Amino acid sequence: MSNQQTLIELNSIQKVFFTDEVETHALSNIELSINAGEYISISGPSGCGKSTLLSILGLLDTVTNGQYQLNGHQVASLNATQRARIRNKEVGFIFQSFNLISDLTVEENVALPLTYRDDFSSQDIDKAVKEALEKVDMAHRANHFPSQLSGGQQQRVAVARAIAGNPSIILADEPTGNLDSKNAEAVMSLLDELHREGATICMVTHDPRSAKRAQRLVEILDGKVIADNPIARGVQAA
Amino acid sequence: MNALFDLKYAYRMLIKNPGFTALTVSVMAAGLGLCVFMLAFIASVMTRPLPFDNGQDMYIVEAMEDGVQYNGGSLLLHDYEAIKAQSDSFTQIGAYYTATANLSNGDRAQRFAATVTTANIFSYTSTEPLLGRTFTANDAIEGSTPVAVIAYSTWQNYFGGDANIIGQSVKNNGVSTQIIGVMPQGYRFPNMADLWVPLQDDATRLNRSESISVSAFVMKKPTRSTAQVSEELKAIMAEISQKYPETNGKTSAYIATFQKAMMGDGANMIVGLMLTAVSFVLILACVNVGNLLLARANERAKETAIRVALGAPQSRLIMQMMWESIIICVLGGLFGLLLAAWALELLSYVLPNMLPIALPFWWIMKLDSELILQSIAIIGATAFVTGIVPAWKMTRGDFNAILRDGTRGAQGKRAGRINRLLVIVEVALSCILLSLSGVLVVLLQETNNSSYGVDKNNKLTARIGLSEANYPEPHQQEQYYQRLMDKLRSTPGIKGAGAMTSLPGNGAWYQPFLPEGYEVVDNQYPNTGRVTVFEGTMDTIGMELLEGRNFDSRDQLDSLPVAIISDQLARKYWPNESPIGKRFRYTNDESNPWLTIVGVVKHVIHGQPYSNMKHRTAAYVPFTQSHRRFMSIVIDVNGDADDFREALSDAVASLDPEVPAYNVAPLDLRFKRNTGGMTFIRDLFAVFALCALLLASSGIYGVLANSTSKRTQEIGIRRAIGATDEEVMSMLMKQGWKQLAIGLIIGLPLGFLASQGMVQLVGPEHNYYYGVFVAIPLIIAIVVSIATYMPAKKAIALEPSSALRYE
Repeated sequence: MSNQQTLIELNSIQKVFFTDEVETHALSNIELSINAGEYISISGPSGCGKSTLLSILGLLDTVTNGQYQLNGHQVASLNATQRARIRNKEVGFIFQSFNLISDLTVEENVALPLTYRDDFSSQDIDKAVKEALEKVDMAHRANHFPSQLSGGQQQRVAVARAIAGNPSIILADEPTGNLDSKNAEAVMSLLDELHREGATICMVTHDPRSAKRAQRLVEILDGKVIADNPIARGVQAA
Repeated sequence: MNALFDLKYAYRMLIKNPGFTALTVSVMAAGLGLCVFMLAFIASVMTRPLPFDNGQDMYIVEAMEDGVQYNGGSLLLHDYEAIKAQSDSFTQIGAYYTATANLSNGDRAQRFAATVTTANIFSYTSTEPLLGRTFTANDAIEGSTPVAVIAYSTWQNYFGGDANIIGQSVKNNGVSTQIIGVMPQGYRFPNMADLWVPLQDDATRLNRSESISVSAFVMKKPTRSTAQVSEELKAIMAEISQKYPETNGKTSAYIATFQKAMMGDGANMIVGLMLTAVSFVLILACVNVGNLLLARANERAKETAIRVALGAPQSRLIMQMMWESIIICVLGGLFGLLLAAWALELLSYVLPNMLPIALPFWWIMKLDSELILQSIAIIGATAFVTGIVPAWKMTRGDFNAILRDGTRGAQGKRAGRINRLLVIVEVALSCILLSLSGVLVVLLQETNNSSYGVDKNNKLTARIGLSEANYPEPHQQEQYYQRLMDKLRSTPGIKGAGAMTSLPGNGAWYQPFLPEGYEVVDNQYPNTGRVTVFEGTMDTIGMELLEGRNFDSRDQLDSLPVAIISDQLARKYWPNESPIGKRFRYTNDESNPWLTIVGVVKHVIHGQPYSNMKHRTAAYVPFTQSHRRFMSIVIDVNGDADDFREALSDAVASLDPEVPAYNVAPLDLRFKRNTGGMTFIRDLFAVFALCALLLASSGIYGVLANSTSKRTQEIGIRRAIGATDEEVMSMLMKQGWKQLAIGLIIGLPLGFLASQGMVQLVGPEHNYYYGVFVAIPLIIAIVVSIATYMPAKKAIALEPSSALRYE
C-alpha cells in the first residue's frame, strides 16, 4: 500500500431512508476521499449520520445517489453478492459491541472472514489467524470462546479478525464505546500500531480524545460534512 | 474446508441446544418414519414389480361383471381361449385356477392350496425347479399320469425335506399323484400356492355351461399400454357376450397387475388417500421444524449480521442454515428408517392374523434399495423445504440496525404474516387428516356392527372338501354330509349343525339367471348368487325365514326343484307380490331346471359388508338337488365356539381320515377378519391423525408462543396505558381463533371431499359420519385455544414494567 494513493472517493453521496410516507435524509452531498495509509476519525452528535456513512463506506448499505469508488472499484451500483465479495477482501470491521460470534472460538472467529474467500487455503488461513492473534497478543487464547474473555480481550480479537485478511481499510465504529479506560487505551494503542505499520483506518467515535489520535478529523452534522481538518501531530502522540 | 467449517458450526449449535435438536429430530423421525413405512407398505402390496424377469409386464386378466371387478378365477376357460386366440397384446398367456388339495400319504391328510395351471406357468415366471422338472405338454393331456410340482415349504413341512421326493406318489384328493418337481424356496406364484398340478380341461371338449373358471396370467408386450389392452379385451368380450348371452350376459374382462387385482378396485383410492395422509403428516413435520428453525434464524439475526459485515456470500449464509436442517433431517431420516423397519417387521407378524386371506408371496414388508434411495430423496427434499425459508429469512434483515443496536428487533409484519400462515396451514392439514380418520372410525364402527343377516355368536365354522376320486357320486356326497351332520348334532354341547357352499361373509357363486316372465334387454341377463344349503342349516346359523318354508325332506333329487331367495331378490324381481310359487332358472347351463321359490329369507351378506357386495342378492338351493363336494360347515354351540375346535375336527376325522377339516374359525372371527383390511387402514389413519394432532398442537403452540413472546413489549405498553388483563387476553385469543376459523374453513370442506371416496367404498346405511365434521373442529378449537391461552397467560403474568423492558 503506497501512501497518498486515493483509496476511497465519495462524490455527492446521498442517503435517504423511506419509512411509510416519511423521507429522512441521513446523508446529503457527502464529498470525502481517504488516502491509503491514512488514519481518519469521523465524529458528530448522535443521529448526525456518521454510522450511516460508515455503513456506506463498509458496503453494508447502498447509496441513494452519488458515486463511491473503493480501491479502484466503482461500488455504488454493485449487487449484494459483489458487495459482499469486495467487503470481505477490502474492509475490516471493528464494532463497538465487538460482534464476535459466541459459539465460535477465538481462532474460528478470526478465521471466519477468511473462510469466505477462495484465495485462502486452510494452511493460509491457519497462518493468517496465527499472525493476527499474535499481533493483538491473543494467541494464547485461541481456543477460548468469547464469553471466556474480558471486553478488552474480545475487542482485541475483533481487531485480529479485522486485520487477518489484510484488508485495504479498517472501519472502526466506536471501538472503545463498550470498554473501560484502561482497555480503551489498549485498543487505541493497537490501532495506532496498525496505522504505523501502514494500515488505513477510518474510525467513528464520540470520544474527542480517541478522535484526536487520528491524522484527520471529519465532523458531520445533520448528514453533512461540516469540517475536514488534519490533526496536529503533537495531539496524536498524547 | 469452508463447508466443513459451516458443518462443524451447525453441529456445534445443535449439540449446544439438545432440547431443540431432540425435538426437531423426533418430529422429523416421526414424519419421515411414517412416510417411509407407508411407501414400503404400498410398494409391497401394490407397486413393486413381481420378483421375476420382466416383472413389470406381468399382468392378470380377470372377469368384470356389470362393472364389478372380480378376482380369483372369474373368467370362463372358453373366454380365456378366445382371448388367447384373438389378442395381439401378449407375448405369453396362460390360465390357472386355485383349488384345494387334500394330500394324504397314508398316515395323515393335510389340506393345501393347489394351483391348477397351464404348463407354461414356470417359464412365464422364468423359474427353474430346485429338484426334478416342471410340466411338459404331455402332463396336460387328459388321462395322462397325474403329476404335481410342490412348493419348497410343502416339501419341507409335509414331506420332511425328503431328498428322494422326486418320483414318489402321494394321494391328492384321493388320486395317486406323482411328485415331479420341487420349486425353490419362496416361490408361491401366482399367489400362495403350495403345489401345482397341470390343467387338463380342454375348452374344445366342454360346453360353455360346463366351462371351468380361470384367471389368465399374461406377459404384456412392452409396447402396449394397459389402456390399449383393456380396449382390446373389451372388444373381444363384447363379441362373446353377444354370441353367448346366457353365460356371458354382462361379462367383460379387465387387465391389472397381480397386486392390484388382489387389492380390488378400491385400492387406488385407498392408496391415494394413504399417500395424501402421509404427505400431510410429513408437511406438518416440515412446517414444525421449519418454524422452529425460523425462530432460531430470528434469534440469530445478529450473528447473521456479523457474517454479512465480514463479507459472507449469500450462498454461504443460506448453507449455514441449510446445514442445520440437513443434519436434523438426516438424523430424523435415520431414526425414521429404523422406526419404519421396526414397524414393517411388526406388521409382518400382525397382518396375517388381521386379514381373512392368506397373504400373497409378494407381500414382503421390507426396505429395499429402491426404497432407501427414495427415502434419501425425501430426506433431501425435507431438508430443503425445512431449511430454505429460515435460510432465506436469514439473508433478509436490517443488518445495520442489528449491528448498531445489538437487538433482535421487533417482529416485523412479514414475520407475523408467516406465523399466521403457519397456524392456518397446520389447522387445515390436521383438520383434513382428523376428518378422514374420524370418518373411517365411524364407518368401520357401523360396518362392524352391521348385521350379516345371521346370528354370529357361538358358531364355529370349517371347510370340508371331498375328493372326486373317493366321492364321485352325489349320493356318496350326500351320505357323507348327512353322517357328518348327524355326528355333530349328537355331540354334547352342539345345538345344531349345518353346511352351505358359501358362509355369510364369503362371496357366493354369482351366475346369470332369468326370472320367469322377465324381459331380458340386449341379452343382458341379471346375476344372482347361488348357495347350496344342507337341510337344517338356515335354522342353525340363524337366517330369518320371512315367508314360505325352509328346505326339508320333501326336497329330493327327483322332486320339484326348489329355491329359497333373499328378500332383496324378491323385492327386485317380484315387487308388490309374493314370490312364493314363482320360478327362475340359472342360464349358464341349458340343462339347468326352473326352480320354484318356496321361501324368502332375510338378506344375508355374502362378501364384505361394503357397498359393492353387501346388497348383492342370493338364492339358496337344497343340497339334495344340487350336490357339492366342497362345503363350509357350521355348528351352533353352548359356550365358547373356540372350545369346540377339537370336537369338530375329531368328528370330521372319525368319518374319513383322508378328509380334513380346514379353515376352522368362529363365525364372528371370520366377520371380524372380513373387515380386517379396512380396520388396518382405519388404524393406520388413526396413527396419522394422532401424529397430525400432536404435530399440529405442538406446532401451533410453538408458533403462537413465539409470536406472543415477540409481542411482550407491546402487551406491556397496552397494559401501561390501561388495558386490563382480560382485554389483553381477549385480544390474543381472538387472534388465535381467527386463524383457527380460516384454517377450518379451508380444512373442513377438503376433509369432507377427501372422505367421500371412503364413504362410497364402504357405502354406509346412515350418515352418522357427519358428526365427525362437528367433533373434529371442536377438538381442534380446544387445542388451538389451549395453545393460544398458555403463552398469552405467560405474557400477562409478567409485570408491565418487566414487559416494557423485555427483549
